[in-house]
Amino acid sequence: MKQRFRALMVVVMVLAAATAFAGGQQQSATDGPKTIGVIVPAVENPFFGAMQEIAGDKAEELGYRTIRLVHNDDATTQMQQFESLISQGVAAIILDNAGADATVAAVRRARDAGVGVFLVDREITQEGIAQAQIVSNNYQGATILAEYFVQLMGERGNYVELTGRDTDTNAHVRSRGYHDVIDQFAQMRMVAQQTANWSQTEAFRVMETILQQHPDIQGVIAGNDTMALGAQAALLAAGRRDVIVVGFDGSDDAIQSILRGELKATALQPVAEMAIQAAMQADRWIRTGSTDMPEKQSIDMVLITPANADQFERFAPKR
Amino acid sequence: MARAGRMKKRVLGTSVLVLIIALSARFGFTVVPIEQVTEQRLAEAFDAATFVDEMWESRILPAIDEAAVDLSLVLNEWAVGSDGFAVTDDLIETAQRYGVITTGQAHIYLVTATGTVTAVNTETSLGTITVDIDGYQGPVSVVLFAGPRIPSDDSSIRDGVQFIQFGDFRDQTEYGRVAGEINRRVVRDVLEPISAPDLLGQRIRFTGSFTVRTFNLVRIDLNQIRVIATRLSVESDG
Amino acid sequence: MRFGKLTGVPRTGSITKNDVLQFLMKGRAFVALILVFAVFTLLAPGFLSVANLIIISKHVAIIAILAIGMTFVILSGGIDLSVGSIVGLSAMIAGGLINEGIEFSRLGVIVYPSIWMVIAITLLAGTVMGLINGLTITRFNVYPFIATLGMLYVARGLAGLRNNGRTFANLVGRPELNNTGFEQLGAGTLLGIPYSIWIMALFAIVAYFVTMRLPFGRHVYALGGNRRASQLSGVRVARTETLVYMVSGFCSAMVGLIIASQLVAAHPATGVTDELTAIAAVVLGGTSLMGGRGGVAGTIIGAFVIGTLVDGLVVMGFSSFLQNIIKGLVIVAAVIIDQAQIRMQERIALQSQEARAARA
Repeated sequence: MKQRFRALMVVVMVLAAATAFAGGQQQSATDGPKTIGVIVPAVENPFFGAMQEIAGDKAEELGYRTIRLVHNDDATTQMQQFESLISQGVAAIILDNAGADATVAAVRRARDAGVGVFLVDREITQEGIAQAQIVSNNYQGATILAEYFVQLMGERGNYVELTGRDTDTNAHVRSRGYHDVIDQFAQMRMVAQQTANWSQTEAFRVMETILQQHPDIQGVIAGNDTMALGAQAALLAAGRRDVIVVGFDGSDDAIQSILRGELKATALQPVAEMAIQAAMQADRWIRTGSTDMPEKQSIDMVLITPANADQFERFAPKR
Repeated sequence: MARAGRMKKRVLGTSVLVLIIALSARFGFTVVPIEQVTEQRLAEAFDAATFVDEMWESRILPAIDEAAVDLSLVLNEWAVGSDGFAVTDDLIETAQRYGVITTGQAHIYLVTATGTVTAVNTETSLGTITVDIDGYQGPVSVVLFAGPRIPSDDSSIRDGVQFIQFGDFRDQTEYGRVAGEINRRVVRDVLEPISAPDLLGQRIRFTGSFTVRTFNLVRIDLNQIRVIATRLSVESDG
Repeated sequence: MRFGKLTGVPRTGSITKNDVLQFLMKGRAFVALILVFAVFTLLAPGFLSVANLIIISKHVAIIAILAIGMTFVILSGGIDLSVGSIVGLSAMIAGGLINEGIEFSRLGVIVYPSIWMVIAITLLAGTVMGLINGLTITRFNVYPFIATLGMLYVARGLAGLRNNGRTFANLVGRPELNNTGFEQLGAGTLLGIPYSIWIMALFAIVAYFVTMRLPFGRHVYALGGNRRASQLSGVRVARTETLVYMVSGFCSAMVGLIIASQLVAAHPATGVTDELTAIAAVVLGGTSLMGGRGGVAGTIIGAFVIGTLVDGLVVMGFSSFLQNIIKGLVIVAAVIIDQAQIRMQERIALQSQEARAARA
């Protein structure tokens, strides 16, 4: 017990010294540039990586320090990061959130602490607590894509739907958008609906299995590009060039595939625009106390087809 | 002695347990009839059809009638190249004058016009009526949706009337479904009563809306604009 | 402490180099904690403010409560990979009870439990999941690693199935159903300190008492130290082992409740990979993965090291990749020191034996 006690004393002394030291330092923190936190789900995904980079760089260009974090789609992590950032005195947080419902509490916490939250890409299910929700309109993207898909299919035929991760809000939004359109056609028959968890390898595997059971398919509609590319690879390996495959996101890989004549279409996410808007509106809010914009702003997705695929790169029009 | 003690303990423990269970069963739960809950859930659930029904006649149609501008004005002002393409910057002024620019940088116009039907296409479910607009000779071809479907992603009426705001909805799905529902309403009320093929060669008058998407697009394809007609009538000759 | 007694290191008046080294190694979690705090305090102003310390403790509480349950399991020589999934399932059970109640379609009624009952039922459910783990291990002789790995998948699947992958949102209840107030568990405070920290403290104290004073605690140590020997000496091995997993399940359910309450929402992916963080905290705190050695106090410190590390790196704006690398290095380093300590203690014991032999 004696040893424990001695160790405890050391801790207490160090903590006390450090607190005194920190107290002296705290002053300087408020003098420097204000800080904006930029939190996205995962930077391994080029979509989120680009978003964080563009938003963060824009904020720094506007004279802010940035703290860039990822929450890996874990609402608990997200909540903890919010609390840490708030206690560090950030001025605003730009967030691509970890769930429409599960994020509400974290945003409210920030609002109560006077920290502005600027949501990008995904919305939350409550209005009036974030300063802005710059939403990538996935539903609109899904319907525009589904309309095109149905026309490519000649309004009839058997198709497969590959859905995203079950726990992801956007997986459901996209699937609903697809079905709100496709289900209007009596002759469009969905022979299989499977999740491939946004993953290329999983989509490949799932597609191979489905092809065994249902060789008579004419189309595949996927919840994102990586799954579409996985399914496309499986179809090509099976010599099925005739099957129409469409994706979602507008990643460079998908655009390349469209240009090669493999994927038939995708919907482009407005990544760059949302990220820049978020940084600019955060800056305006910090300076003037208002964004001069409605809270919920819907940004449209663009349908990408062989006709216009060569005009896009890195989630934006080529310059 | 030891055994009796243990017995006593066990009896005591069991009775305490029973007491806790009885108390919690009495006070720990609230019982509600299922019907009451389902009714409440139904009342709270969003229904796009009801939402549109409540404002279609009373607000949406009047708003379009009132705000509609002459389509030929818009068409004549556009700087469209001979290939039918335009640059976004050249379209903004016109949109500000005659239309609405959304947060998604779509240009929405509420318009009215007269013209002659030059073609009717009903091959797919997205049938179209091509109209030669009075007072306009240019590269832009104007078509009206003829049914039996209007694309679900076409939100020009929802966005054009300006009083249906994204922020008033729980999420983008509900917001999006309103657009789809409005389009179904148009099909039922406006398009089904007429027979599109019979319109060929006729002079018609229509009011409606259309969208020009400019967001994230380098060049805007204006070879064709597709109008959702909320009023459509055959003009008697003379 | 316990180990020191067992090896019978002779106490002498003077402090030798060995003593200092041993002290540093034994208290390595402490040393790590001091280092972590010192570094972040220097680098991030305001890190040691009272408000921030409370927030860190709140974050630590989640790791610590899981790790307390895990300590029992690891002390007994087992492992529980299912805690993260049980966290998720518990959150979904609680969320479902609040938002949807329990439907009895035969009777045409829905029964809404009060918040206390929601908590009780959820804790019970978590304990039952632990019981299933325990029975699988003891009755069917399945390795703990395999049994709890199975539960990891099953519980996570059930969590998703409960609401088809969707979140139970806005868990505030309704006054007419007498089930309001759930968010208080996560947001409420007592004497300015959030409930979750009090819960952590309570769990830690009870666990410390149980491991140090109750027969059950001694049996857990005995089981992990030498299974055969403890069986021969009359320990009811199967019963003790089953109980250990029930404790872990109970702790997991508690964490599920806390998280759901803090988020005011229950998400089926809640707690993914939390089992690894819990194991890391236990190991960092000096409990041997072989069982029989370590304790709750070390685990709490271990949890604080990890929690502080994560929060500090967040505040510093380190990328998640760097965060993972640092976390990994700290854990491995802790175990390396652990091994070194064991070897050194053996050497010291050997030396003292030789010395005694020489004297005799």
